[in-house]
Amino acid sequence: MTLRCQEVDELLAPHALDALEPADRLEVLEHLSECRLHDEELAGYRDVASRLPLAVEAMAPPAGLRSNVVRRFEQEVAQSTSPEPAAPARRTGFFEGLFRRPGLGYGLAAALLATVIGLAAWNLTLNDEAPAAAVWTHVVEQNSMRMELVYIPDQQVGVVNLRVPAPAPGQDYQLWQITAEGPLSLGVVDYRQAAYAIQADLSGATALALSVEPLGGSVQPTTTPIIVVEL
Amino acid sequence: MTSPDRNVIEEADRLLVEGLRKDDSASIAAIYDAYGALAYGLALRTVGAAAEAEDVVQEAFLALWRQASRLDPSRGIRSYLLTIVHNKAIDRLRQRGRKNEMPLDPALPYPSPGRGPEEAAEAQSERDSVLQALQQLPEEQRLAVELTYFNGFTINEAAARLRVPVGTVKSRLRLALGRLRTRLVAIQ
Repeated sequence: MTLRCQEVDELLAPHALDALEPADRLEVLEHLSECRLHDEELAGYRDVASRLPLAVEAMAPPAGLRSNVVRRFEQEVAQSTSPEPAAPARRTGFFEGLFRRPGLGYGLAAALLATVIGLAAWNLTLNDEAPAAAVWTHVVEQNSMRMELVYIPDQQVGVVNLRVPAPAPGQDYQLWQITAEGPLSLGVVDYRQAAYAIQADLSGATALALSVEPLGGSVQPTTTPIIVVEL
Repeated sequence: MTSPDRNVIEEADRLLVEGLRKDDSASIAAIYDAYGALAYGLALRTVGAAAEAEDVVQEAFLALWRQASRLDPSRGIRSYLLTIVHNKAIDRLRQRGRKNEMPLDPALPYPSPGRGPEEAAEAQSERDSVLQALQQLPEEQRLAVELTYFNGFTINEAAARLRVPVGTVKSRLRLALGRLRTRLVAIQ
């Protein structure tokens, strides 16, 4: 922990209002992940923050907004249950179902992790002449956080193993592959899920990055990544 | 003690969250009918443009659905939804490097949504309570809250805007949230 408790105390109120610069927010999150002395005060601030929107007047929305919300919802549901790939670098088919059911997803992701790690171990034992199945393994640890990628490029599947603090209420972690064209989302990550399976072509990626985003994720990263694995 | 109305809302929220988890479009429509006007009001107040506010509301409802497995119905769908709306609205402001300067409590020329009289009265009462608590803050503290929460400034940006040290903004926010907490608990 780089911040002292007194410094964190001074940042708790702006943290609850999402008014910190990304670097400060990261330091606060890191401290809060290891120090329980601020829980009560932060909960009080968050309670206040959750009631501030009530100060705003409700307004009659445009006539078409309701149908647009429902239509987009139905489209998203249809996409999420479709067995067809929706887009490159997106979880599909088997993986889509895996992520839509967190409880099941954890078990399957853990099993996949074991398989991939087993394959990596097997790969390491092969002699030079054997046609080894290529496996990428990358690990980075920084600021008490850890991200590990085990990836099979031939099959474009892999597992990301994360150790990060809980995000603040209303925020999520989102995983990105960084390419020459910019970041591509690999999805919102449940921090409680240690092993996160991905199916994506990472051949053009220079790094994987994890950022803090508003609940539900963003189209593009809105904060500086808290941890990056160079590929 | 929990009022019967509160119990009814909690039970309704629990059923709606269950519906979201089952990808039920009737549930998303019901949540929109209950909180859509509040969500739109917050989005419009924050981003300041109707088209952007519509986008924010749509994104927020989809995000709510995506998070359904993690929602705790006892905390209330409204709280989750408005937090998401606020985050997405602030996200847009910051991405575009601009701030919305709309004051908190203008005489808004929009009609209230078509709620029942009891719901409308309760919503108005809640709004009055929060507004009153905000208005009772010392001016510099209220301004700090408005700039950061409602206008999307970071504390560094707010400090530059107010021409005070960042530490001053931090302490004003801390004092402000402490007072708001005391007052909002007292009138709960």
